[in-house]
Parts: sequence; structure tokens; C-alpha cells
Amino acid sequence: MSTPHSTDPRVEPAALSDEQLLAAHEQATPKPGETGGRFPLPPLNLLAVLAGLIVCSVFFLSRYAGDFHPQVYDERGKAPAPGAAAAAPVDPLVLGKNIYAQVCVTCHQPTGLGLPPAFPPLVGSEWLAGSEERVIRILLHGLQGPIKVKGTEFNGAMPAVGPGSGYNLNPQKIAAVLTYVRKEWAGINVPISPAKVSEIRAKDGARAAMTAPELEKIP
Amino acid sequence: MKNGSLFFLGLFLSLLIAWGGIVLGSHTQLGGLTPFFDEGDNLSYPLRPSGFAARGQLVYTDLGCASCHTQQVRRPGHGSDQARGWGERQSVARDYIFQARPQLGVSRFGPDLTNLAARKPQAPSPDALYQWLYAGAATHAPYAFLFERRPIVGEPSAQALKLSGAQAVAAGTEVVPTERARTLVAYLLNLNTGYDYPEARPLPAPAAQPEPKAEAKK
Repeated sequence: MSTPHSTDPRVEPAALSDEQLLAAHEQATPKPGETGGRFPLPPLNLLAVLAGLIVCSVFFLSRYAGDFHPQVYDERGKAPAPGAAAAAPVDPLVLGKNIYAQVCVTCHQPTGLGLPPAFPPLVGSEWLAGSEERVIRILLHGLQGPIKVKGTEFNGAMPAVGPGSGYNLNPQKIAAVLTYVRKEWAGINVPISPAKVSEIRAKDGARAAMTAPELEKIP
Repeated sequence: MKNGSLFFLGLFLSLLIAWGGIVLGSHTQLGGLTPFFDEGDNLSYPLRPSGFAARGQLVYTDLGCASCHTQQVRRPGHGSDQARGWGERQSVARDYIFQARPQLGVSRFGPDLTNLAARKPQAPSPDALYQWLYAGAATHAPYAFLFERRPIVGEPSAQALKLSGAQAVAAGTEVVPTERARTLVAYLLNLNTGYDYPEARPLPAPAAQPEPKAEAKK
């Protein structure tokens, strides 16, 4: 008995046989390890690594970005409190060294040894190691005429460097340079205060250069 | 082009964000920077350059000095600029507020010039700079076109270069700097960042580590 379909002209024959259909499905179905033409999802581990990197960068930036403050140049710095920037303390030794190099070095030399016979040494000078009232006055008013330092007679003219003079150093700078010089070459670790310089300046007013005998009278 | 408008909108937005961050952001933060008033000196810093020196900056820009010379001193740890004596402190934004076009420089082929006028132990003299510009050096091209060689008419010029050796000119002629050279040298000798702004000071050294405690435990 033959199948009725094969001879029945009213029934449309299928385009594919069952075997062909199965083969086509087989071809379209992805094998294990194949993507089948679709984008694979990124591995979850990668997402975790990226999230970790973002967290680390945020921590790094909050630690090493100087608070994103325009006036902070060091990455470890912190933004200053409002109005505090101007009040950052100056190290008198650093300021003093700078001023010494600008003002004093021509005569007293970088070594502090001076240039005989006009410019006396600062190293081991008994005047430098002595009363601070005297050294402040030398800087404020200058020094004129012969002076004996370490047993040697020097005769020169030291200009005034205080306010109103050609160098116009303010009391803070005078105190700083004296503090530096006394520490460097007299071994005195006690800083000279700007207030003391201002006080002596107010007391003396404007006057001519000091002389050695005048200095001797000052305690 | 597929999604063309979206692509160009994205491009525009990414440029806009970068411009906002780099240009607008910096301008908001630093655009209003004022000079620093020092009560002790009764002066504001930085000092405004003289007109002559400001014109010299145009010559500096024009000659392309910035392709070899920088004007920015980095702090220790970011370069050896301070060890080389190029400056006492790092450069800060306030140093440049009076400069229309800060010449930060492209490469550090030559020395940094930020603080040329305050070099230790002393700044170069104008004469030395004129010589340098006229004759050049092993690593510096001569800029002789900034000078005029002319016959001496009457008195020799006070500004004439004192040349000797291979550079010496024939008797009866002299080499004088032109106005460009004079403004350039005035500009170079006006470069001084000697003033110490609060923000330029280095951070205080980190506090000493609590080492003694650990030793005490041992």
C-alpha cells in the first residue's frame, strides 16, 4: 500500500525533508564553546577588577590630590583653612640664610670670614657672640670707624640695613638674619625676636652709624 | 553615515567637557589670583615688569626661546632644578599673573630662566648676555642679527660690545645691540622670582616616626 500523499496532487509537498530540517538546525545551533554570532557577556571577574580599580583611584585622589586646591602644590598637602595661607610661619633660619646671601655676603663672604682689613669676620667674633642689643644696633644703624675683632683692628664702614636704609630690611628680616648668623657662626641657638628689633628701633629712632666706643657702652 | 548626528553630538560633548575642565575650571580656580601684599616690605609681589621688559617678552616669544628654555622651577623630587641653582623655590601660579603669555617652555634643553636675575652668587651682567647672544656658544646658536655692525661716526657708542679674539671687528666699526636685543636683555634681567609666597613654601617635614617606642618594647 503506497502513501496517499505522494500521489495526491492537492497536498503541497514540504520544502525540506525531516532529515534536511534537522541538519539545518544542527548547523545553526551553537556547539559548546561557540558564541553563535552573539556578543558574549564580559566575565564577572573583570567587572569586579574594574570596580576595584575605580575605588582605589578614588582613595588615591582623595589622598594625593592636594584637596584639588589651587594654592596647594604638593600632592600630600591639605587645603589651608580660610585666611590661613598668609600666616604660614617662616623659618627664620631659612629666611636669614637667604638674606645673608643677598645682602651680607659681599663683604662678610659666604664663609663668614670677612675680608681684612676692612670687613671683619663673623666666625668666632666676640661681638656676634655678645649682647644682642649691640648686634641689632649694628644692623639698624650701621657701623663706622675702627673696631677690634678677635684681636685685630678693622677699619671699614658697614651701611645700615634696617627700615628706611638702602636695603630696607624690616624687623622680621633683621631678626632672621641675626638668628641665622648667630646660630651658624657663634653657636647661639636662641632666636632674636622681631619685637626686640622693633623695640630698639623705636627707642633709638633715626641716627648716624654706631661706633665701637658707643657699642661698648651698651650692655 | 549611520547614527551620524549621535556621533558628532558625542564628539562635541567630550570636547566640551574637556574644555570645561581644563580651561574653565582652571580659570575659575586661578583666574582671580591677586598679587601678594607684604606688609613688612610695603610692596606687592610679583612686581610688575617695566614696559621695556614687557616688550622684551614679545621678542623672547618671537625668537622661540621657549623651545629650549623653560621658566618653571620644579620642587625637589620632581627634578634637579633647585640643585642646579635655577631657583630657590618652586614656581607657583602667582609668579605669572602679570605675564600675558607665560613662557613656560617646551623642553629643558637650556637652563631654566625663571630666576635669572636672582642667580647666586650673582646675576649675569647685561654685557655678558649681549656677548652670549652675539657670539653664541657650543650649545647656543648665535643671534648676531639682533646686533648692528656699523662704522663709528664721531664718538663710539657706549653700548658697543667689547669684542675680542675671533669676534673682533675691524677698526673703525662697532657692534651695537638693536632695540630688540636691548628689550630682550631687559626682560631677561627682570626675571626674578626671589619672593617667597606662602603657597610656595615646602610642606613641613613629616613628623618623626614613633621609632623609640618600638625600641623600648624590645
